[in-house]
Amino acid sequence: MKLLSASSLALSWNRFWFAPGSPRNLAAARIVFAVTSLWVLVSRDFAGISGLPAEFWSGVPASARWRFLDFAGHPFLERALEQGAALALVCVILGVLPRLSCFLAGMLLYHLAPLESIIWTNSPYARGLTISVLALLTLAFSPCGDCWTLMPSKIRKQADSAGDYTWPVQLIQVFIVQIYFFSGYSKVFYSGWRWASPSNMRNWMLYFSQADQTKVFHSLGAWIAARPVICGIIGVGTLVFELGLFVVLFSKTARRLLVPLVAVFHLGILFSMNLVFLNVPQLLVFADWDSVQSWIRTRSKSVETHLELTGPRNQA
Amino acid sequence: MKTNIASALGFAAFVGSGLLVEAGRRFPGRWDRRRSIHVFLFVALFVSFGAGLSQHDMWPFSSWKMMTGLTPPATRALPTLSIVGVDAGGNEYQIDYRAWKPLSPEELDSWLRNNFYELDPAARARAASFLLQLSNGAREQALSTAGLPFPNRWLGHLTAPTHLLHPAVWSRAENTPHTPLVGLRIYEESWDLEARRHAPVRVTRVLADEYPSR
Repeated sequence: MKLLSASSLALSWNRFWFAPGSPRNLAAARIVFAVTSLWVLVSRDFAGISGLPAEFWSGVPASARWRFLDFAGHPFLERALEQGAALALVCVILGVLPRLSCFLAGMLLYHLAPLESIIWTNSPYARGLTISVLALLTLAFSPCGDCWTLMPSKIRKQADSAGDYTWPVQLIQVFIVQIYFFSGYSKVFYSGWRWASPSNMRNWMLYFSQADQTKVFHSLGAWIAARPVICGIIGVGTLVFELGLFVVLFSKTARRLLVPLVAVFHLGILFSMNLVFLNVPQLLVFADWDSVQSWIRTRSKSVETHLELTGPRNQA
Repeated sequence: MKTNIASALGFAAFVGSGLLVEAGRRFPGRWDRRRSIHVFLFVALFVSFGAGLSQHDMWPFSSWKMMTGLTPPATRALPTLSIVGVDAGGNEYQIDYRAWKPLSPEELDSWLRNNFYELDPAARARAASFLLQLSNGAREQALSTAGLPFPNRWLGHLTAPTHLLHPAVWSRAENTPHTPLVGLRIYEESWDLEARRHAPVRVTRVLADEYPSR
């Protein structure tokens, strides 16, 4: 019985990570993460943080500096590393030495991203590059260059089997789902189930729609705050949604239904609380890119047929 | 210290086990590639779930602690910091978030709360002087025909925003100070959420610091 359960566990493990997959999904993950990382990278001034006066760095512990090799007073070096990371990300997008480029980009972002917040914390999460570091490094160890590359490998395909295209995508999806699961878990961990109470939701909505420093959108938050039933639904719904989102890892139907809802969820948070979550475009790693490509092909074929039928010769 | 060492080890284990996968690909006879993938997956899951379930952030393996608190109806427990610029006439101006580049307002706010008051008076004055310099530089840019640029001037409005959205107050000429700022004031603002719903101006402001100090 024990052996049976161990073997069935191993079977489930292998089925989850090594079911035959598509090189397109892996290539799409590579491009999606490189584009979003590049967008965040060029929108920040990490080198400028290194160049801040020494007073700003006075509270940074030595262990944090050495952990990320982030030190004050090297803005020119950091600028060069920023440019190196940007170049590596462009190579990842185009598929030029994609695995090496993924590795370089991942390691450079591990060094650069903490600069954004290092003057007061060594945990720069929710700033857009956390999952990117993990995803780019995962991609570096996978055959992500077998498809959609400008310079395809002349030697051979990098994957030994179709399962080699699955585990990296699955792992990246796990990292993304963890955002929601741990976000829900931490709410219960620190505040208990009372977090979902209508009064707490109401106060969060009011706070973010009233604070002058963050008041860009204020109507939706105030509107929700005035309706306790909606506040209650949002509170309970948020916890259920965040803690239950892991089902998208196991069910295609759940993926089709819930992943678009995640985007709607973030849109709601943006307009009601002025909070931006830069990881939203990364949800594209849940798409089935084989289906997307065949849909595009069918559409372009039908447009061609339509043009042939309605072209000048037929009109005449 | 301990967190930094543990986090660095977790990240090193992640990268190291990933390199084993690469070794398995390059030397197929000498290294079982499938086994190295299992090790890599196990390490990635162990470290990421360890960080999340223990709620010890080990970036990039994050605990994703977001909006976890119970918000009190009045924000007095954690006042919001507001930095305003002061001109020679004593008029106060809200400062545009883009003025603080390379810092974002969230990071500056947290640094002020956690570190600024730990500095000795001379160091505090030097930091405030730097912030005043940034504000005046941004003020001049805001008054120029090109206006105050977004953190990435080429992307403009498409620049990736920070986690919190901030109003671009100096995009309007009437909000921009027309004479140089000569000082900065840091206020702690607090308000009763319910009262402010009906009267937006009902905010209590306490002067926390001023540069140059009087």
